[in-house]
Amino acid sequence: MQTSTPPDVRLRLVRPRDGRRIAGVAAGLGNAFGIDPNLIRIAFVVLAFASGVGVIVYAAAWAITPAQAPGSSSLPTTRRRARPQFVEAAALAVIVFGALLLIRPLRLGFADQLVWPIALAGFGAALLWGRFRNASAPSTQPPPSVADGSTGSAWSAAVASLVGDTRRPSLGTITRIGAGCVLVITGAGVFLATRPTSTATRNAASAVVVFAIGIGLVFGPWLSRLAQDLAEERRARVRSQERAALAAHVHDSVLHTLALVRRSASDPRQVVSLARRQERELRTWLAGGPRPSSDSLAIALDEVAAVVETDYGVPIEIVRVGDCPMDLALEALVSAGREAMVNAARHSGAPSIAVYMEVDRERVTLFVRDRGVGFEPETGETRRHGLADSIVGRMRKHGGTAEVRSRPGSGTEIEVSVPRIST
Amino acid sequence: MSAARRRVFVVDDHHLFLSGVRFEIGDDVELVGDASDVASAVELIGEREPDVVLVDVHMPHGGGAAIIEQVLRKHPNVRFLALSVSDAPGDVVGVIRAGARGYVTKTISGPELLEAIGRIADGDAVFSPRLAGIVLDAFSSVPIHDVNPELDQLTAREREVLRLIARGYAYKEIATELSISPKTVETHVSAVLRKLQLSNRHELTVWAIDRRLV
Repeated sequence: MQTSTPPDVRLRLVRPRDGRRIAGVAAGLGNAFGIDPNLIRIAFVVLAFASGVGVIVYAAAWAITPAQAPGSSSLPTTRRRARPQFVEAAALAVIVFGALLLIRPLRLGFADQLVWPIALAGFGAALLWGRFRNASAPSTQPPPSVADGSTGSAWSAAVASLVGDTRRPSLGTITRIGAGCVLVITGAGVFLATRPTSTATRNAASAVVVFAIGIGLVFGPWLSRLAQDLAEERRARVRSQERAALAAHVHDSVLHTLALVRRSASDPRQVVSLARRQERELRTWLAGGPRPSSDSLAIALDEVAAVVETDYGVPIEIVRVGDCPMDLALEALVSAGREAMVNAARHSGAPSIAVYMEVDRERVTLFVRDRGVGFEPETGETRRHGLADSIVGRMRKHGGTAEVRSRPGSGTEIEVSVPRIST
Repeated sequence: MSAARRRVFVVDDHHLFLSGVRFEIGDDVELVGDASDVASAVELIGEREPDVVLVDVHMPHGGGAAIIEQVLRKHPNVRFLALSVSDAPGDVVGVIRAGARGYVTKTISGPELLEAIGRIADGDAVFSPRLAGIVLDAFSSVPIHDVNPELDQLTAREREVLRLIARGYAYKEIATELSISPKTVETHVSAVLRKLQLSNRHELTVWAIDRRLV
């Protein structure tokens, strides 16, 4: 149904091949604006009752919008908002409400008594069925699953919590379900209340209510048992999946390392190094997997120490007091620390290196200490002297300080510190 | 190393480790026995009254903390040194608050273990750098309510000593650095141990509660 494309359209509006209910108008609009197509469909239905405006707009959009060309992908065209946002949905609601108010004076089509209950019920349904995402989640992340409770329709989140995927629905979900139900019931109530009252209707309404309560009482316990069984089954499945993951991990890493240990049994340093590496890797895995080093100074320091330890075969023990997120000055601190560790590993001959990191309100301080050969601070070997100069220079650039203390035969301690950048 | 042969009891449910410890220190101390579960450990320790007990933190039915609590009720003079592969703050603090006087990880070498046993037998506390870091962390925040300055805060000197331990200094080196005697260093460390055991600081009680629930 190719017609001329509308002039000056920034967003490419196409009616996609998949996801159509009637002609793909709502799906196309949803993709272009990043709103759940279901919400747009509800808006069209509500507006259709308002003097048929919804039908007119739908037909116009159908005519204007080209169908998706065969072969092209049906991904949302705007990458920025790939998932429905609550703000956009609220904007849509406001537009529909405004349109209803505008159309009202025309007094065409259906009367108030029909339009407003349908609008109320429509808003309620939108709250219950619409898929939203927490405003705080960035849109560059992959779409979160329903199980973590932060997206999906209110119903799917409630069901997920009932069967035990999540602990309990978030306050936001509970509010949405409550508000949605209230709106729908209010809409139905207003509709019934404005009908010419007839006893038959009243009786029918109360009969429905009584029936619903009766069914609830009869089937309630059975339904709850069903839900519990479902939850238990899900938990058992999750447990067996985790066992499988653990088995795979153990097979890949630990058994492998143990085989290497047997092969290197005559080289104690290699054995110790293998053991430490495997231990570190297991601890990280137990803690839930590696995290990006930009998250915290502790992680960045751990990573640096792990590399130095692996490269030079000297164990490095880190003691921490406090932690903080990374910034430029701290990156310089960490690389000065690395230089100090490498220097100690290479030249001190010490069996191990002690690192102490302290974060307090104003400063971050790092100590790298070894009980190795030490050196004369004034006349020291050029290599270690160069170390002091480069570390001091680097720290000064970021407003920090560095100090190298050493005595021949009693080891070396390097202290570097930077002030914290107050946010 | 200590002059007299210390009477040492070892508790661990890991048999390989038990025999390793026996091998490492068996010549230098008098090993009066061993156990691998809570009930028999409590019973045997009560019978034999060793000077120092090496106790593993993680064991079924309450672990090292349970053994320490039960033994100290009837025999308050027994001294415990906790051992573990873990150095998670919760484990460490839990077992110290139960009454242990020191905490070392199982990667410790034979000579260092002997030195730690000697120190505990003499009535001092054994603080590894990691334990010192944990204490500094726990006592770093300003407590909001009910401050008992004797128990809930570290003095400046105690903080200095802990900091040096965390940086990897031995007691003798600390004594030189701060121009005090090694005995004074030990006094400060024992005072910190007492605070760690008795303080009602939120950070410490939270860790203890977590352990009970687990």
